[in-house]
Amino acid sequence: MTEAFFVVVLVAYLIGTVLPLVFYSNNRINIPIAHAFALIASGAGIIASVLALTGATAVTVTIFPSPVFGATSLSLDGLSAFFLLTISLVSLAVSIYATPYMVKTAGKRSAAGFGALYNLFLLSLVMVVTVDNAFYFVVFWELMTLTSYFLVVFDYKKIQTARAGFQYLVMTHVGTAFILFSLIALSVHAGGFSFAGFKAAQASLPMGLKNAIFISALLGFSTKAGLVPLHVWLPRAHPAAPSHVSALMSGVMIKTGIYGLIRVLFDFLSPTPWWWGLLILILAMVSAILGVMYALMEHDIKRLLAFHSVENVGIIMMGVGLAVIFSSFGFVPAALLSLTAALFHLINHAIFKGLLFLGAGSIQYSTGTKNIEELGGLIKRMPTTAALFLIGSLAISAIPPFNGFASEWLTFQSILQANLIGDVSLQLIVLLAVPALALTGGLAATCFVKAFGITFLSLPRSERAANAKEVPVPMLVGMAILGLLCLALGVGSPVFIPIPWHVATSFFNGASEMPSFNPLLLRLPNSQGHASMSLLLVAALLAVVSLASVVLTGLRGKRSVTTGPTWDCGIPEVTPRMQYSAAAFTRPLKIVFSAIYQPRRQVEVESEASPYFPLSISYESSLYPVFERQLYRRFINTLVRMARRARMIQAGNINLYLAYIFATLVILLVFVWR
Amino acid sequence: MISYLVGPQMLNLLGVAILVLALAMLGLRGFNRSLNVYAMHSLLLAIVTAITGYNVANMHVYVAAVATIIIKVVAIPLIMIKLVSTMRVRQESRLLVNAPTSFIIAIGLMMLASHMARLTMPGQSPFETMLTVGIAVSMFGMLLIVLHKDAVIQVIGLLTMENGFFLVGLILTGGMPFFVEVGIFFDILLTSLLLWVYLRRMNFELKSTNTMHLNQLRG
Amino acid sequence: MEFLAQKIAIGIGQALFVLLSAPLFTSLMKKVKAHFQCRFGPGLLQGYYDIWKLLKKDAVISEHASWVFKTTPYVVFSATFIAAVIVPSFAVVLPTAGIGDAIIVIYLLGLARFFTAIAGLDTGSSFGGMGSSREMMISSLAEPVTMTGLFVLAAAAGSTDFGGIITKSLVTGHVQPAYLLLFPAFLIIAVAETGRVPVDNPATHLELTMVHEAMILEYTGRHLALIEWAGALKLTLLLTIIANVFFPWGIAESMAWPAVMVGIFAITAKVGLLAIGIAAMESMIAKLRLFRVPELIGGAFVLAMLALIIRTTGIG
Repeated sequence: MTEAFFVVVLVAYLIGTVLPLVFYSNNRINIPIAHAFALIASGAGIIASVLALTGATAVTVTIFPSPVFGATSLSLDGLSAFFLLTISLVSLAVSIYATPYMVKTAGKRSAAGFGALYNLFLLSLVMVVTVDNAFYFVVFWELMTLTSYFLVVFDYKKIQTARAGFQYLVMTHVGTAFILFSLIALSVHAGGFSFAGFKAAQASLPMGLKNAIFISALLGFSTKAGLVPLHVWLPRAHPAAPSHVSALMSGVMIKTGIYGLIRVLFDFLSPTPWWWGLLILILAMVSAILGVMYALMEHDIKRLLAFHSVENVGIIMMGVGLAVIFSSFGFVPAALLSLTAALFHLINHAIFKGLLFLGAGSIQYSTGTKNIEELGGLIKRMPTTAALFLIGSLAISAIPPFNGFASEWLTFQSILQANLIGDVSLQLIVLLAVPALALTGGLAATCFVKAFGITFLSLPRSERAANAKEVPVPMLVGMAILGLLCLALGVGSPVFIPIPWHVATSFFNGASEMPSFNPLLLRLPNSQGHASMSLLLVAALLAVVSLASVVLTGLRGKRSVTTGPTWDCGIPEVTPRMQYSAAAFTRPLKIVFSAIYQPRRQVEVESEASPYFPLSISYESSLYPVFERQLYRRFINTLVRMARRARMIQAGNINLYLAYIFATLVILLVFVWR
Repeated sequence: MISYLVGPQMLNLLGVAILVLALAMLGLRGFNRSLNVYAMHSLLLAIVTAITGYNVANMHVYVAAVATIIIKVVAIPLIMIKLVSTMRVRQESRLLVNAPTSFIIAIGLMMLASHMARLTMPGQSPFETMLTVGIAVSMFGMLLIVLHKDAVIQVIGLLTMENGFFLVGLILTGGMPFFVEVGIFFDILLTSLLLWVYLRRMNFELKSTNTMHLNQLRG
Repeated sequence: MEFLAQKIAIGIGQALFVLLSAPLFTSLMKKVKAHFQCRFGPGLLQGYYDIWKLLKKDAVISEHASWVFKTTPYVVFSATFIAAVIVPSFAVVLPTAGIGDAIIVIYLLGLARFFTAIAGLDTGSSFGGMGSSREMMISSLAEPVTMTGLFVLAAAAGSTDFGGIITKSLVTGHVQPAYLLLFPAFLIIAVAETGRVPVDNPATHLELTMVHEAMILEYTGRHLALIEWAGALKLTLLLTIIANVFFPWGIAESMAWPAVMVGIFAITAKVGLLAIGIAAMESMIAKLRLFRVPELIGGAFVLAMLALIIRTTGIG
């Protein structure tokens, strides 16, 4: 049963890859076909993963056997099925959304290639998280990188897009090199490419090799996941792609990095030393804080969302890091709780980030701009989009009763387990995650008050915003699915959490099933402190109290609600230019955190007679890109310097080149005869 | 090692109070207020000294406590306040980084101090606390010197640092030999007098005690 | 069955108690401040009169506003109210505690704040935007302090439930360094979160210096009544937390009626005293410049971190 659905997933994506190319010249046919097959595949993916998650045994589908590298078999164990579920949920909504969006974005160009790549990209994502052979893992990983590269550079005529794509390609390839190293090292040790073999051989890994594998896997996978300081490609590449692809990249693709890390850490390298977890935790804290801080200063809505992905990967990684620390000391229930929190936040982030990117796509669709300083007042022109974007904003800001809060609550609870750690200094560093997470939450809320408030509320700041119209129904449906999921996974968190919990149990020996299962109440096992909360109750009470207050305050007397002008201190009329802008909104925080932002600004005032009557004022502000300048620029400069030195041997003279060959030959001969 | 029969709980509380006052100095900019906090800081130190004296039943530790009160609580703050009152210009110091950042650095140093104290004296109730406090206070004093731009605050930083060292010494030895102690007090008095002269001179020449002006002395 | 009935009665009693006592404390603070200014000031029931009067009045809504502006008062009121109901006021173990723990209380206040802030942006007035911007800055800086402080308490109690936290402080007594450090930290947070001097001034009439009042400048009639009531609830809620965590005296440990009566009296007295203290402090100090506020909150953060270090290392 599960196999059948899983095969449907693979076949539907394959057909979706081929069929649009057949109708190359007709966008009216190839766009719906591509997304219809993606939709079928996603639906089947959801069913297959739910079946696999609830079923007892792992499911394996073998495609073709190879004598050298082993069979290409895709298997759905707990972790793979969980990631398949994440991918399929987001791609379902995105595939519904994509048709009208692509029709407009593609314009006169053929979208056939894009549709084919879209399906191939999704297929590669599915295969990356399900394949159980290191060789094919790398193949599919590369496929995923390449297809996503082509999706990013769809708009290749724009110079920024092309550059962003190139940077993305270079960074992820460097990352792949590290992944390759760790997987090759593992396969040399295990004597084969199969993941089962890796797992069997992990006990005999020497410590030095283990550390080397961990470091390079961390470097490789966190490049993909966008962990600071390897995040620089992310805020460029994600916004450059068409919005529904950004939703997939930010929501799902970067999660493959986390998938890889969890797989390597808990399946191939256990038992893990505690300092690995500490390293991950510290990187995660830095990522979370810096990600949200840079997001705050961003006024391009898609870049803003991309920086939030850096932040949320940080939050997910906090859970992973804690799980490593706890499991290395043998606190299995605590490790289980942390990994559950990480997995739960992972799927939640996929959902709300997908929703927000689709919302950003809708804004771009109807206004043609991503710059929130040019927007405003969209709530009256696009009411449904606005409501859904608000849900996404609340969810990502960890506000109850939405799903973002549920997983942050779990993360907080897992940090509280630091009580168990014997070493006080380590415990203190772990506890630093509390203020880090809280600061992240507070700044994220600020950022989304800005993003929602400036974009959707008050008066339009430009013609484009004033003329915006609500997007077509399929786009709204796509967003609504994710919006509902945000609420459902929040309110229904006690029902859903046993799934990631069950997935996490497979990594720890002696782990138990989640005790005291109660569909109403999210309750921790008694061994881990008695904390409980019920988002369902909170949501119900919020609804009841709000309704009651509407009714009760409406009861008294016959009072009217009139509309009048906004208070303007007596100026004739409120104009859009008087409103707070996004830059003004975040300025206080820019000043408070100036040590991190290092803001630069230039103000030019042009005036004719008196400085009190300026003709024009131009204001330009920018942040100092610390990582690009301090880390990457230095590295690149060194590389260039070395390359220059190497150029000395390139004289351009053919005789010289022949002499090189001759010299090589002589050296080789000497070497052989020795 | 001294055994504390009286007031380990009391000592812990005092230690925390000493720490908080040292942290408060990091956030203050006004000279007078900093000096008052320093005086209070020294007073708490004197009380800790007296308690130690009671525990080790040693007369000269009491003397040290009294000397602390006379010199650090009364004399030094008085002459410094007098000096500050002669200055006409803006009586506020500036920090190199903003206050929240300096607080965050201080928290990091505090964690380091507690780690070092645990390595030295693990789990011995009043000693670990007081050692943490002593190390942390001396590092906060150093931080005060590094981060503030004004010479008056820097002098207070130096004195705070000395308070931290005094506390560490007191806790580790239960009162140093009498002559060493007298020497130290004499040193402190002399140092602050010297610095007083220096500050007066600086204020007279530059109309300010901001050390940024000294940058121009570079040849 | 009787037990269940009693539970429900206590739950409803708790809800009504926080709802109805909240305006009393804001009036009390006004009275104390008036006393410091050598005025008689309004009576202690003025808070109730104000809300009653506002409920009767017509509402005027800006022509630029959207549905966000109209729903905000109801969301803010219900979120704050639910948060206030979760916090144990007169008894340690309340049936309403089943809704959630300390973390959800903080984040429910976050929900209220989020909506207030976007409503401030909704009318297109620059005051509203300025208010939201500043409020979000202050609250996002205050959040780490609150959570760190709560974690010190939660780590001591082994639970993030308020019931557990208060039971713990009942058991251990109060003269502990960690608690002594947390008390001023929480006080600063309460002052910052409720927009009182020195962070913000609830009585100001100058738009440029307002933070919270600037956000709700456009509200009138019953909408304003709900927002004001929510503000009073928030103040009561934060003071109740402080009162019961640091001075858990008199709180009912069982559900027996005499104990509950004592508990109600004790919490009213404790919150009243804290309110008087804050009002007195407000009268004696000046409002800080906006960019000095982060330093104040930074100080609170240091205290909370210090408490965390002390607790973790077992010093205190």
